[in-house]
Order: sequence, then structure tokens, then C-alpha cells
Amino acid sequence: MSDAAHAPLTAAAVDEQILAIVAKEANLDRALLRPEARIDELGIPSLDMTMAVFELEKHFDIEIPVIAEQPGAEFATVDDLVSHVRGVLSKAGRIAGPAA
Amino acid sequence: MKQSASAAPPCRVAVTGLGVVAAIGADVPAFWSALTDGACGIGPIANIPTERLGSRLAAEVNGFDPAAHFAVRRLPMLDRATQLALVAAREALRDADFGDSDPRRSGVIFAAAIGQETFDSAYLELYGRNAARLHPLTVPRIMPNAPASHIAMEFGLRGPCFATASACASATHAIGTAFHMIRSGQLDCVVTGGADASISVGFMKAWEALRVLSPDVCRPFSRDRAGLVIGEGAGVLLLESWDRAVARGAAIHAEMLGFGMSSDAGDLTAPSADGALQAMQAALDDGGLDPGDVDYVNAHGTGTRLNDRTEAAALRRLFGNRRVPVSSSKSMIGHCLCAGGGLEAVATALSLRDGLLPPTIGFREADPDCDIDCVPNVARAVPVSVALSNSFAFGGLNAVLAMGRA
Repeated sequence: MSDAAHAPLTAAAVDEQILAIVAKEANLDRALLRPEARIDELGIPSLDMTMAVFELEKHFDIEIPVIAEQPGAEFATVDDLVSHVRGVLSKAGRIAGPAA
Repeated sequence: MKQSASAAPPCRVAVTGLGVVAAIGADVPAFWSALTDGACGIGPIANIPTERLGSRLAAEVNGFDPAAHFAVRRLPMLDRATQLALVAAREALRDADFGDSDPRRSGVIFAAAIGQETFDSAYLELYGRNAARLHPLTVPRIMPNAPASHIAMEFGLRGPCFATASACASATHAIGTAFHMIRSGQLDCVVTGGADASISVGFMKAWEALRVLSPDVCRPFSRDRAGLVIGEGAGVLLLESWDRAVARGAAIHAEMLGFGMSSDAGDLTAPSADGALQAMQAALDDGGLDPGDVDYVNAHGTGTRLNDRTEAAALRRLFGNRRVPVSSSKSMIGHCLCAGGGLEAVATALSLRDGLLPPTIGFREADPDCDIDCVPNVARAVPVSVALSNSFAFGGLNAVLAMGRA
């Protein structure tokens, strides 16, 4: 990753990039990934979620820690994943302005 | 017990020898005492560097001194998994007071386990330290049949010898295949089970990437379970034809009754209740048994949200409203991967022999998704006539043993 890749992003851009990666890994239409949509109801297999997190780690060059309270089914909804990744990026100072 | 002429086995099969190396005990008496005391073998990793690991817990075999068990000239041939296998196999054959057998009718069917310690350290030398050459015994140490081959060589067993590969069900597939080969009259006796020593930096990082490792201990079937913990060890059984065991006056720990297998043919890693149920039913059918005959199940019980929920659903479908005690030894010995089914079959044989069910430790809160009696935290004395031992592997491979009191 170049330094440019680590320049702060807007919260909206971060959300957009996260959702684009999840849509690609889950082979789903991006429009289905509404914040409240449940991962199980979208039919995303657990391995696809793991792959999506791996791709997100690569894309943002960050480590996305396992949510200690509930590994194995870490994210119930799309927003659970987006919020978790956004939180990690925010902590690393990678989101411009106040965290969304 | 259902008596069906078509399922009547031509040859009964006895379990006459048991051997173990595990985090909670270096031999069968220590293992069984710790397992029924609810001792936890999970702790901070001590045998490998942990700086790069996110999860630093495992159920390691500590205090194992290879030099105490093997001659100096032999040690370079043996990966840690093979060392553990040989130590457990020696105990099993001593336990059985094995004596002489027809070598051509004596086999070894053992879990295929890659020599991870060798694999990891060799490639660290090559890629990490730019070594010009690797040790000439790297290949025979890594090969997944190494434990089987070394057992055959040490004891002069010249019949069929091979390794079964089904990841975390490997040992159970080995034991079930050994059972079938004796039952059908092809062999008199088989050394079987599994060994695994995969706690290497590379392999732990690979597990970490799957996001299923517990940051805490392993709490199977508990609502707050947080994943699995990797373990290592070996569990070995000597199986022999019932008539041979009786004729030589052997002490019989348990009887092998049935073996069932299935493939989910679905998801690569997510388990299937249909596949688990099909394998349990197949094991019962193979032994001419009904679900109503079963008094205890030694569960696969990894402590992941998905496995435990799925296994519990399969058990509920098998037993209906009857609450059969089900416990997970992995709460104490960790997930010993290719060795898991071997260690758990030893535990199941001892449960049958002693009428004592090891608990599921670390249990804190009932989970409505796992509505089973998981023998929480404290062992239970109950006579057991028939027990199942479940193993379900990545790749959707399921194997179940049905065992009976001798």
C-alpha cells in the first residue's frame, strides 16, 4: 500500500468501499446491502463473510479484530460489519472529520 | 437393542488397548482422571513464539521430552506428531498386553496428519532465513502417513497400513475403517486412532484467518461460547477380534458396535445438521441399534457458534424429546484436529467401562439454540450401555462411532 492509500477518507467513501467489497465477495447486488439487512437472511455463507473481512483488511491495510463477544457469527447485520470496520479505521485516524 | 439378521456382524470387535498423550495427561490414567475432574488443559502458548499471534491460547502437551522416549539416532526421523503417536501406541499395546500376533493379519489405520512442526520450521529456514538446503528427512517427517508407518515399523505389523485424511474426522474414519476390517474377518487386530501436533506459527496464523479461534477458553454449548481452541495430542486404540481377545484372556474395555459416515456435499466449512444426523443414524444402523439404545454422546462440540448449534439440532432430531447426556471433551483437551476422534474414542471407551461421563467444562449459560443436556462442568456417574462419538470435519465430512459396554 502506498502512503496515498492511507490518506484519510470521508466516512461516506469508507462505507461505499466496504459495501462494494462485501457485494463482490458475497456475489450480491450492492443495493441489497441495506444497513439493517440481516446477513443470514441475505444468505451470505460464513466463509464468504470471512473472505470479505480478509479482502477488507487487504484493501485498507488494517487488521480487523475478531469481535470477542461473538466470534463465529460476528456480524448479524450489514451495519454491524460496516460499523466495526469504520470503527477500526476511525481509531487508526483514517477517516477525515468526526467519525460518523 | 434391535436384532436384525442382515446386520448381524460376522465378527465382534473388542477394544483391548488404550493410549493417550494430551494436554491434561501424559497417559490414560492421568488423562481419564483429569477429564472426569473437569481439568482444563487450555493455557497460554508456551512452545512456540507468540509475538505474531492474535490468539495466544492452546491446549499444548507440556513437559514432553522426546529424548526420554526415543534414541538419539531415531529422533531426526520423527515429527512431533509421530512422536506423540508412538508414545500413545506403546501405551495401548502395553495396556492390551498384546503379545504375539500374525503380522500379516495385524494392521495400522491411522489419521493422516501433516508434520506441521517440520513443515513450518523447514520453510522458515528456507524462506525466512534463506537456508541453502533443508534437512534430508524433511519429506519423510512431513508425510501424513508417517505416524502410521512408524507404528507399523516399531511393532512389526505387516498387514494393511495406511492413513485416512478427513481433517478433524480423520481419526474417527481410521477407527471405523479398522473396526470394519476386523468385523469382516480381513484382519485380527489393528492399531488405530490419531495424533496431531499442529501448534506452529504458520498453522495458528492460518486458523486465525478463519476467525473461529476463541479469545478465551472453549465453552461448547454455552450461550457465551466464543470459538474453538487448538489442541495437540494422540489417542490410540488397539482393536481386535472379540474371539481372539477372549481366547488370550485380554481385558476388554469396550465393544465396537457401529460406524457411520456421510458427506454434506454442501458448504466447505459450515456444518450441516442433515449430514451429522445421517452419519449418526448410519452408525446406529451399522450396529443394529436404535436411537433409544444410546445413553451418551461424546460430541464433536468445538465451541464455535455454528458447530454447536448445528450438532445440537441434529441430536434433537435423532433423540426427539429424550434428553441424552452429551459432552464435549474439547472443552478440556482443545480441538486436537486429526487426533480429536482418537482421544474422544478413548474417552468414550472409558465412559462405557466406568459408567462415568466427563463433563463439558467452561459452561456458563444455557443457549436456547443448543437445547441439550451437555453435562455441564461436573462429571456424572451413570451406567452407559451404548455411546456415540461424533466427528465432523471441514469439507463436510462426518464420521460417527457407536460403542458398547463390554
